[in-house]
Amino acid sequence: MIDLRLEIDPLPIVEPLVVRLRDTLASCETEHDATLVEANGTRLEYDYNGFSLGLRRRGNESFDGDVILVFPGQRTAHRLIRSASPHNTFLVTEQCDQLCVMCSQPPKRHHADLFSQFALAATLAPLKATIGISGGEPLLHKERLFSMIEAVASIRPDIRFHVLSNGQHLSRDDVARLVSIGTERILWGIPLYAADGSTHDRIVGKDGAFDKLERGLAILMKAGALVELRTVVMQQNKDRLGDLADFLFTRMSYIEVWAIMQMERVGYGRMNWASSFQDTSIDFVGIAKAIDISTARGISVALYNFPLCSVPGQYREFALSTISDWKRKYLDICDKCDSRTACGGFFEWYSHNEGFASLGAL
Amino acid sequence: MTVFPLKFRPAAHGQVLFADDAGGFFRSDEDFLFRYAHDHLTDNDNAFLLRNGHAFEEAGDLAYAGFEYRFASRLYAPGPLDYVILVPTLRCNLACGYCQVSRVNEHTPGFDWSDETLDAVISFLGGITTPKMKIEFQGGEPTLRLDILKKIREFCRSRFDRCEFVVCTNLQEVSDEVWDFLGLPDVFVSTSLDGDVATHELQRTFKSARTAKFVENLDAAIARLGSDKVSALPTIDARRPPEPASIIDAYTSRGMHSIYLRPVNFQGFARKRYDARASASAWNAYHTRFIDELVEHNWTADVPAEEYYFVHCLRRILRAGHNGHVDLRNPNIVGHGYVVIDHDGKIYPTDEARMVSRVGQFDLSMGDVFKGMSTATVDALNQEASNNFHPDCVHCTYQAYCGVDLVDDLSRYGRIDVPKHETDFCQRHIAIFDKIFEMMYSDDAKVRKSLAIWAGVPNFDASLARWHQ
Amino acid sequence: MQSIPTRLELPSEFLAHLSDAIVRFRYLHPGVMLQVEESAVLLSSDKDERSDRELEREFLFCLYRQKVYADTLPLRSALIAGVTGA
Repeated sequence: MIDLRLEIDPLPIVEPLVVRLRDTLASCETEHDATLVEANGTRLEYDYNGFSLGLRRRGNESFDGDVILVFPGQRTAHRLIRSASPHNTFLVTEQCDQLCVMCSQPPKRHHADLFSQFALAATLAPLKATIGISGGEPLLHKERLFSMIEAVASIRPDIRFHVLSNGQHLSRDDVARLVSIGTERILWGIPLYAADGSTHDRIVGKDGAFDKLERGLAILMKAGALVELRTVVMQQNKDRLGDLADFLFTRMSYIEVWAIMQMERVGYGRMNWASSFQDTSIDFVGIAKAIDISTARGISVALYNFPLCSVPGQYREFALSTISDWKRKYLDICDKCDSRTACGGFFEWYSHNEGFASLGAL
Repeated sequence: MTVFPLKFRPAAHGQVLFADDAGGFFRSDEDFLFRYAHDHLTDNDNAFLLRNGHAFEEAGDLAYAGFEYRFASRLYAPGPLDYVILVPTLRCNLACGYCQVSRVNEHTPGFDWSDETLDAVISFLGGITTPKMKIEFQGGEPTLRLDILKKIREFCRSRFDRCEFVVCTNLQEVSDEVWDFLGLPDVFVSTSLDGDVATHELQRTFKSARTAKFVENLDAAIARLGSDKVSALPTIDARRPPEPASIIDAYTSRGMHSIYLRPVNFQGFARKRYDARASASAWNAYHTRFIDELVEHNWTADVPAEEYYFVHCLRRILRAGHNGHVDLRNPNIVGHGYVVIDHDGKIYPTDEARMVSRVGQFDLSMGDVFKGMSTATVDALNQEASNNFHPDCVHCTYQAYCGVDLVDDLSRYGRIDVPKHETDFCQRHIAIFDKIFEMMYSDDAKVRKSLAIWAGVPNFDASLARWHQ
Repeated sequence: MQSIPTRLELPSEFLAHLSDAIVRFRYLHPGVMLQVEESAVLLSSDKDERSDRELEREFLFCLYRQKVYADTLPLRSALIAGVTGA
């Protein structure tokens, strides 16, 4: 498990501060860069515009190019961007208007607006970085979010965003704005759990969610948006994936990919594990059907968060390595596995006692 | 609730196939047809139609938008010019019985590109802005002018980011220099293998010594270049076709598993020998036998085989945007994505158009490389190139999967307004689509295995071919 | 061989599409003779091998198709407009 926080000597600041860490003076390009001046075992000393910035690290990890967020009076900084990793996500809000049964990031009432800091951090990201935007529900702060993306796009046209959203807060007026932002700039990760409203609404804990989502998906289609349609497989919907495949083909052929996902055993997902987790290593029938139907019709399907050995051989090519590096682990049985490097492994909080029954080295 | 227009076609055993303009389909019965035609659809009917993507509740809702998207995706929009067929010579060292390209004998002067023509072609290619370019050399026998092939390749590699070169050769006489050229990493070989060796000799080489030489060269090509770089096509005379199993064997034994059956094309030289008015029915009967033979073969073979065009049609049924074959597009806009440059520098929208012009039927040329492209004729043709509102096609269940081929119609009938069901193009495609639907609704395990392979999926799920009762 | 015509009664909601259906039926089935009455057609054929029932069915199908075409033409036109312009 990679720690996304760093121990830091508290800074004399009154506002949250964004700093990019650099190993050499030569690589400093902006007023937001801090240069490494001394490394003493686990303590690193940086020069930030004449001020001293002290960090503590475990091991020999390099922070060159990383972007951190420091809060007044706090002894830990958040690693917003790790320059050597493809998995960087900004948690833009913890507020949410749904209560999904498998939620890995349960919602909170309070919202701290850090969009300006996030905008700055994004402009300091490595070339062609893709930055995740997640929550809660990011579109609860739609105006701030769109402004942030527009601000970044004008300075760093190479940066892409992967926005995870329930897609329910879009209106027709947003089409023009999305088009002008540029359709290739955002990949929308939108969850849909079933083709019927009552199953979907029950899973996301909100009446009327499905109807709102249908409207949102039509708006995204109109805007030419790139959509990654996400479906977590659970006991509640495992027998309805064929219906969902038909629904996606007839109504949403425009999607970039249909991501069929395994649950994460954290947050509400952990709480509801016994009544929700579907052991797809012993019953893959519903997913196989969904893949067969969709692939024949030209819809791209991908399996996210499935260890390769839990997937039948004929369908293994659809399983991608998608678990973020900072929350990924492998099991003992993986030591002898030929497919380890291709496999995405397990979530850090995977518990084999309540997990897949049928696993084994390939 | 509003239902999008449904086309219908009776099938066997009282069943009826229904399809819409976006390519969605299902089977039902004549009772449903009666209810549909008389506006007496039941709640059960409506629920099915809505679920299966044939209806919407409010204009602009997700069901409507989804249909509109699928409908739009069925329409072909030409891309930039990035595929050019070059005919540097009409001279050929073979005299195949069905030769459609109006060849001349190997030593006939005056049928090659002059130096000026070559310069003009290079200048023409130089004016194209595209990151990738595919050049296909045809003839006659293009390897008779290896010097031109080399010059074109050298120019293209300096001009375009990514290039691919296909040499359509009879592999009859292959010098060391030609082998070296064919061995280059961006060069691919396309040749003819008319089934078993006996048929090949009957139609192309006529003498056993020549046949043997060809077979030796073909096998050498596969061994030296790899079967990924060599493709072969069989040309079939439907009145005297080789047994399907012999074709499958001739190809699969050489590591070639995609077999594209082509009927003898009665143009040019072929007209002198073959009856140009042959109907499509002989071809259709043979083609369906061939598919049945493939299904048997695939049931037990280690490596499955396919008939390329059949698979192309199957995929056009199942998905939108499958427009890779130039003969099967709607609208079939020609003269944009690819062009043909003849031995005299004239430009044509398709190879067929070149042949139609050469036999003197119509002049479908688009200018030449000296004076530049002129598109008046082709523009007029393209105006008629769609099937969406054609008085016959609009009622056809296969309209969304089909296309038009106006040049083929011109070549056979001298006009483009013959009722579709009387055209060879329509008869052949209806037969293919009928066969595909018959297979998709079959319970036969052997059939379902081949369908899965050809559709590119582990299993051909029953949901892909829905019923409504 | 049929020389005695078969009579096909037509439901009133289809009469508006009768002439279009006749045009199409005639060029699809040139060997079939067709006579029109107020709300019926008479079909007969010396050259066509098909039964009365089959001919009636073919004609009805032409009629259905013309009705569906006419009823749904505004929808089809809206689709094309949505794709090419609007």
